[in-house]
Amino acid sequence: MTKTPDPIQELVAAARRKQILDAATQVFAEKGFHRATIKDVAHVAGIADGTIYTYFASKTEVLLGILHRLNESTEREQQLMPESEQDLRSFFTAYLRQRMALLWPNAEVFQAVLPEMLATEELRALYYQQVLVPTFTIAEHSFQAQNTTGQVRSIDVPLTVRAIAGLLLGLLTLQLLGDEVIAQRWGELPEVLTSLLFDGLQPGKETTHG
Amino acid sequence: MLAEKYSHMWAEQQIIKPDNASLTMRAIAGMVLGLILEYIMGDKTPEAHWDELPDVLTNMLLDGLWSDHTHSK
Repeated sequence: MTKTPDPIQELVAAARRKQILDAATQVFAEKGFHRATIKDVAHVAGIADGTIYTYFASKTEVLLGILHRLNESTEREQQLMPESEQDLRSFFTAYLRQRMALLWPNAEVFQAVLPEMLATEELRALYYQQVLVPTFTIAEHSFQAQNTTGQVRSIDVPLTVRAIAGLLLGLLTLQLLGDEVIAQRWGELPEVLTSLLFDGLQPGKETTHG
Repeated sequence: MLAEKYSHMWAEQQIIKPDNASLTMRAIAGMVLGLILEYIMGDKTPEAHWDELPDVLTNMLLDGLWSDHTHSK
């Protein structure tokens, strides 16, 4: 017989996971992923080391939990489906604004984990399978839906989705490499990127907004 | 710096729109860097469509994603 999940226990578990991820975010940003230990995370979270293993099998799993949270993996499907009446351009700007508002305060975490991700094959594979593939799939469905309604022109959906995702990842990386223009004008990027992606660079293609 | 210089020159010649040249050039550089990072992370889709990638990116960047009926000329 399948056991029905207890909603109270689920809430407690979600709160505990959040507490651990918050602590790990702080520890990884301060010490880097490689130097940080589960003991450090437990200390900052104010819990016993063993409690962490109830929720995450390893330090790598904690890191993937942080990356899922930064990626907003569980909310992504809903985020990428505009309401039927919504202007696609406004929707996309709002989506970028929301993504970039989340990435900016977490840039230090990204800086701490990116070298580890690039250097460790196992971590890259997990990140690709668990975070990137589901996100690309959802984004592709969303773009295909816009394609079908004729709002966007006929495009190569998989490559376009990867180019847009790469754009955000690349801008964040350039900023971490020390680009001051991006750092100073991060708040303007959603509008600039929407204009670039929807209207293109060529003159004479201004949008009618709706 | 070099890309910005050329983007300003192209904007003056009305080849591209003059808006936000600094951020736009960084966005394009970031897109290429991001695609490389995605490839390193394990995404082989761009590699599998390597021949089409330049055209897809060029069309997207020059013409934008809107279908023609959403533009007012």
